[in-house]
Amino acid sequence: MAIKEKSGIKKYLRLNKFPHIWCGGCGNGIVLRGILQGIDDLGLEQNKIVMISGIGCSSRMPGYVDFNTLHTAHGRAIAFATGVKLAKPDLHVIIITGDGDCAAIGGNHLIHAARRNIDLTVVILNNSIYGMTSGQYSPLTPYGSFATTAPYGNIEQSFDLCELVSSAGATYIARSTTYHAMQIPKLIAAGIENSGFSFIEIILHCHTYYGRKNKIGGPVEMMEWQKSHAVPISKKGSNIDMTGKFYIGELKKTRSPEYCKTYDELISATQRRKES
Amino acid sequence: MKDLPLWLNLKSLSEKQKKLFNIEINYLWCKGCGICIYYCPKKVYTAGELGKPQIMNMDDCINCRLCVMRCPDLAIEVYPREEEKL
Repeated sequence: MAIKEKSGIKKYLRLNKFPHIWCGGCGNGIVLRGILQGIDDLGLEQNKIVMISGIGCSSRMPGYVDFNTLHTAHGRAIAFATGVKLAKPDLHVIIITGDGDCAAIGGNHLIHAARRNIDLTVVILNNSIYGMTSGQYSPLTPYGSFATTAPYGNIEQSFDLCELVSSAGATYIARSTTYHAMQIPKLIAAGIENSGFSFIEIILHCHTYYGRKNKIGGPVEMMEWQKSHAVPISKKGSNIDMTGKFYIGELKKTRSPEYCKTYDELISATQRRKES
Repeated sequence: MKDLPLWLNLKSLSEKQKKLFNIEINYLWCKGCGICIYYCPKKVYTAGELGKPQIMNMDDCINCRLCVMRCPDLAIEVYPREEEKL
C-alpha cells in the first residue's frame, strides 16, 4: 500500500532527538507542529530559515528542528536574531521564546526590535509560568493565580504583551491558543510573509506547574479553559463580557518601513554621494 | 428517500463516496496525554494501556486532523487509504 499525502513536516525534524523532553500533554509540541505546518505551507527552503531561542521549556524547540538553529543566552534571543538578520537579510529569522524569557529578562530587546520594525518573526509561547525552573511566577502570570513563589496568590499585574509591542511599533500582531491549533499555521505563515516585526503570542497550557498550582486540571481541562476564555477578534464590538478573557486572531496588520531595507538604502545613498 | 431524485439522495451518495483513512500512531513518541481521545469527534480512539490511544474504528475517521494538529508528541499521522483494485 503506497503511503501518500502524509503530513510533510517530518522532513523538518531531527528524528534522532525524539521523543522530545517536554511533559506528556505539554502545549509546546502542539506549537512546534503548528510552526512546521506553517513553514511547509509556505514551501520555504530549509537552509533559508534560522530558528533562534533563549532559555526555557519552549526554547528547547530549535534542538528538534532541522533548520539553522541557535540556542542563546537567557532573554537575548532577539538580540542575536537582530545580528543574524542584519548580516544575512535574505534569511527568514524565527524566534522561539517563552513568557519569562521574552517579557522579563528580554523585555528591552523585545520593545526595541519592535520599535526598529526589523523583519523578525517572534513566536512567544505563553504558559503563564517559569516551567523549566519549577514554577516561579513570571510577568505574564495572571493577577491572583498561584505559583511556587506566590503561594498566597500573585499580587502583581500581568503584561498585555500584544498591546506593548503594538505601541512599540510592531507591524503584525496575532494571538492564538493551543486549543485553536488549526489556526496557528496560518498566523505563522502570515507572520513570516510580513515584511517587518511580527509578533505571535500563543497561549498554551502548563498542566505540570500552572495547572497543578491553580487546581485547573490536566491538559484537556486547560484546553477547555482556553476555549471558554478566547474571543475571536471578529466579535470585537459586540456585547461580550471581556473580564478575564482575551482576543485571538490577527490583532494588528499595518505597513511601515522595514529596518534592513532602510539600512541598505542609507548605505547606497551615502556611497552615491561620495562617488559624485 | 424514494421521492428524491438520485443526485439528491445523500445516503447513496455518501455510501459511494465515503473515503477511508489510515491512522498511524507512533507509540515510541506517544506519552498518553489523552488529548486525541477527548477531542476526536467520531470517537475513533479509546484509552488503552498507560492511557495511550487504541484505534477502535478506523473506518469512522473523517480526516478532520484535529488529533494530528493537537498531538503534543507529533505521534499521529492520518492519510488517505488506498483502496485495493478489484
